[in-house]
Amino acid sequence: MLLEAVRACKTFRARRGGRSVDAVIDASLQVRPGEFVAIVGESGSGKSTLARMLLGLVPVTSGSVEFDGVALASMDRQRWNGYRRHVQAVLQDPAGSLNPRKTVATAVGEVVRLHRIAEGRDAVRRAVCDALDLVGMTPPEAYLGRYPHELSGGQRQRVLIARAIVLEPTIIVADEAVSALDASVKAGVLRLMDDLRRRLGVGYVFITHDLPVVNKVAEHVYVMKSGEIVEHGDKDQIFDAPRHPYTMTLLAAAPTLATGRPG
Amino acid sequence: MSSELLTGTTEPRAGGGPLVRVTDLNVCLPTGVRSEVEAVRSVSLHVDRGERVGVVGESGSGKTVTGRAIAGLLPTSPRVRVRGSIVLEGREMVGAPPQAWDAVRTRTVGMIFQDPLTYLNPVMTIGRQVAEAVPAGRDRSGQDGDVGRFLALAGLEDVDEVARRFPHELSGGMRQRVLIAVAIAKTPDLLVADEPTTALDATVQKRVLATLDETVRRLGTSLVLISHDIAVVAGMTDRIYVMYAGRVVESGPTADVLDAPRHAYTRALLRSVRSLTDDGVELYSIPDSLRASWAREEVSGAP
Amino acid sequence: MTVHGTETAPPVAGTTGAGGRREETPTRIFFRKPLAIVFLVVMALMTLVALLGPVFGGDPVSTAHPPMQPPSAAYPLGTDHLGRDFLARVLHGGRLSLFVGFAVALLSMTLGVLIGGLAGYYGGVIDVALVKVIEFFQAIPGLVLVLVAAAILGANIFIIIAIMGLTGWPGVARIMRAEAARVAQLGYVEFARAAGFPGRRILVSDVLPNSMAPVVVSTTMTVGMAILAESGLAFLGIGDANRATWGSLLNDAQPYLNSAWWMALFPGICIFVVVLAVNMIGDALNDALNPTIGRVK
Repeated sequence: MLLEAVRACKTFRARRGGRSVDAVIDASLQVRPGEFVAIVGESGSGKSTLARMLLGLVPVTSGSVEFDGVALASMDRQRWNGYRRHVQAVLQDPAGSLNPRKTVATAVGEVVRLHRIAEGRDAVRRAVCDALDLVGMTPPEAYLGRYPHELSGGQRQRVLIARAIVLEPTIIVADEAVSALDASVKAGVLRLMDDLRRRLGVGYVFITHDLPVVNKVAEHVYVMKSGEIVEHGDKDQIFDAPRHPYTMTLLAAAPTLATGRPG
Repeated sequence: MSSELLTGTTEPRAGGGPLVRVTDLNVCLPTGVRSEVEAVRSVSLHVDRGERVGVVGESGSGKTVTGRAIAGLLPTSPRVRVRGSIVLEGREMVGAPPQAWDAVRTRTVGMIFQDPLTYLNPVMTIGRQVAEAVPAGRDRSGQDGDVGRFLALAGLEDVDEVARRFPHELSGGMRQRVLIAVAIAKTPDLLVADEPTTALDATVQKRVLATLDETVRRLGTSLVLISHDIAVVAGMTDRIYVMYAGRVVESGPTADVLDAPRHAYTRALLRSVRSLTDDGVELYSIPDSLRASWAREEVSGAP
Repeated sequence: MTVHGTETAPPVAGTTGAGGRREETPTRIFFRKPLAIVFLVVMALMTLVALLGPVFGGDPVSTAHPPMQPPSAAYPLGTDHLGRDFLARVLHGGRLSLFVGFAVALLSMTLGVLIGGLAGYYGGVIDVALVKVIEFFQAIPGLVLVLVAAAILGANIFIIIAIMGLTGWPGVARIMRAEAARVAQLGYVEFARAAGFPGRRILVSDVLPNSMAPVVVSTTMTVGMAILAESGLAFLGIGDANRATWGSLLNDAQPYLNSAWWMALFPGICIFVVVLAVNMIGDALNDALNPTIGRVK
C-alpha cells in the first residue's frame, strides 16, 4: 500500500482576465501505512491543495497522484472504491466538518453503510460504537444521539477521526486536524492518532503550520513554500540540520516557553 | 523608526494607584432565550501604569470576556449582568453612564482583536480609519503626518502607500499592524490585545509581536495581552493571570508562575503545553478526573 | 502506551438556566413567542374553517335568500345583492384564497429550491446556465402576464396560480443558490465527497437541509403575497368569474360600498388577518431558524 504524489502540479485558472495561480508545483511525496508524514508550510504554501489532491478532491493539472502505483485519474470503479475506502480525510473542525443536523450515530453510520462495512441496523450500530470506543469516546452509547453542537471541540475532532477509522483505512490525510484546539485537547487528539498508528498501522499525511507539533509526532517532513516542496527529509534531519533557508526561518519563528521577549 | 517620531509620551504617565483595578468582577452572559452563563466569576486583577500583564486560559475560561469588560466592549443587552468593580484611572465604571464608557473607549483604552478583517471597514482607506481614531479634541492639523507616524509605529513600511489602500488589499500581518495603528492612534493609556496573533503564521506572528512590544515600550502604554498560547504571553509580559472556568486560579510575576506554578491547573496546563514541544516527554492532556476534582473543590469552597 | 486519561472540553464556566442541552431547538424558540403562537392558532383556525366551512356553511350560490340583508341572526354576515348567503360565500372564498396562497408558495418554493440548489452546489457551467434561466424568468412581469393570459385564455384560477408560481420562484432560487454555495464550501460537504458519496446524495442529505431555513421563511411570506396579489387581480375584475375568492367578493362589493358595508368589510378583514398572520409566522420562523438573530453571543 502506497499513496504518492508524482510531480503533481495544480494550476487554478483564474476567472476572466485574472492571473492563473500555481497552487502546487511539481510535488512528489510518498506515504505508507504506519508512517507519520507531515507537510508543513504557512498560509498560501499550497499544503491544503496538495492534501486535497491526495484525497482526489482536486484533480491534478499535470503529474499524478497514485495509489498502489495506479493513477487516480485512470482508476476503474472497483479500484476507485478501494482507494476511497483506504484513504480517508480528517479535516479541520471548527467551521463545520460535521453536518449540524446529523447525530454522531448518523455521521459515522452513513459511511459504514456507504462502504458496506456492515449491513443491518445492529451491525452498523456495533461498528459505530467500536469506532467511537477506539477514539476514546466512552461509553459510545452516550454519544450516539448527540448533535455536533452538543460536543466539545475535542470530541468533534474525535468523531471526525472515528468516521475515518471506521472504514479501517490504511492512510489518513489530516488537514490542520488539531490546529484550533487548546493545548491539552490537542495533546489528547495527537496521542490518539499516534495510538491508532501503533495499534492499527494507520499511516498519516499530517498537514499543519504548527512546527513544534510536527517535531513531536512526525517521522518524515515535507516543507512547502509558495506551492513548492523546498525541503524534505527525516524529522531529525529537518529539525537538527535544516538545509533550506526557509526551513531555518520557520524553525526560528516557532514560539516556545523558553523564548524571552522578542526583538 | 527613530525617536523623533514620538511626541513625548515615552515616559509612563504620572498618577498614583493602578491604571485599572478590577475587584470581584462577575459577568453573566445570555446563551439562549432563558439560559445564561457565568462567564467571569469573582475575578480581581490590576494593571499598573506602563505594566504588561498577560491573561492565559483555555477556550471558555472567561479571558476574552474579562478583556472586553475592561475595554467596555461587552454586548449592550439588559441581559448582560456585570457585578463587582472596574476602576479605570480612579473612576468606577461598573454602572457608569454610557457616555463615560465612550470617553474611555475613545481615549483611555484601545483594543486589538484576533480578526482584523472583521474590525476594519472594508470600504474605507486605511489612512482614514487611522485618522478617525485620533480623538476629536486633539489637534488634527497635522493629521496626515499623524497617520503616517502611527502606521510607522505599528511597523508598517511605505506608509503613504499603505494609507491609500483598502483592508482587503493587505496581507494578514499588515492588517493586524493596521489594527495596532488604529488602537494606538488615540494614544491610549491601556492596550487590550485579545489573541492578536492567533490567526497569523508563525513567522508573521513573531514580527507582529516584536512590533507590539516595541510600540508599547515607546509609548509607555500599559498592555493586557490575552491568549490561549502561554508561549506568546511568556515572552511579552511582566505579570500573568491564569484563568480557568471563569476564575483567576493563579497570578504572579510571569517567570515565577511559569517556573514554579502553585495551582494544580497551572501545573497541568504547563505540562500539556510542554508535552507538545519537548522531546522525550509523553503527550499529556489534562484528565477528566482532575478537572472534576477542581470542580468539586470549587463547590466545597476550597481554593 | 500509557494513558493519562482522556481530555474533554475545558468546561465553560457553570451554565445555569432552566433547560438542559435541548434548550435551544428552533421549535422551542418559535413557541416562546406569544405573538407567533397567537397567529399560528389564527392561521390554523382560518385554514380549518376554510376547509370545513363549506361543508356546513350553506350554499354559496343559492339566491333563495332576500338580497342585501345586513348581518342578523339568520344571516350572520348578511346577504349580497343577488340574495346569496354571505357567510357561505366568505367561507368558500377563503378556501380558494388560501389554496391560491399555498399553491403559489409551494410551486415557487419547489422550483426555486431545485434550481437554486443545483446552481449553488454544482457551480461552474451549470451555475452560469441556471443563473441565466433565473434572470430570464425574473424579467417576466408576472402581473402583466396574468392580464394577457386572462384576456386570451379567460381568467382561470389555475392559470393564475401557474403564472404567479412560475414568475415567483426566481427570488427563492437566488436565496437558495447563495445558501447552497455557502454550505457547499463547508467541511462536511468536502468530507462527504472524500468519503465517496455520490453528488446527488450529498445535495439531498447535506446541502439542501442546511440551506433551507431562509427559503422556508421567504416561502411563508410568499403565501401572503400570493393571496394579496390574487385579491388585487380579482378586485380589478381579473379573476375566475365562476369561483368566489375574497378578492372577487371585494369586487362584487364595489358598487354597494355605501349601502352594504358588510360585503366589503368581511372579506377585507379576512385578507388582512391571514396576510398578517403568515407574515408574523414567517418572522418568528426566521428568528427560530436563524441562530444568530436575537441571541447575544
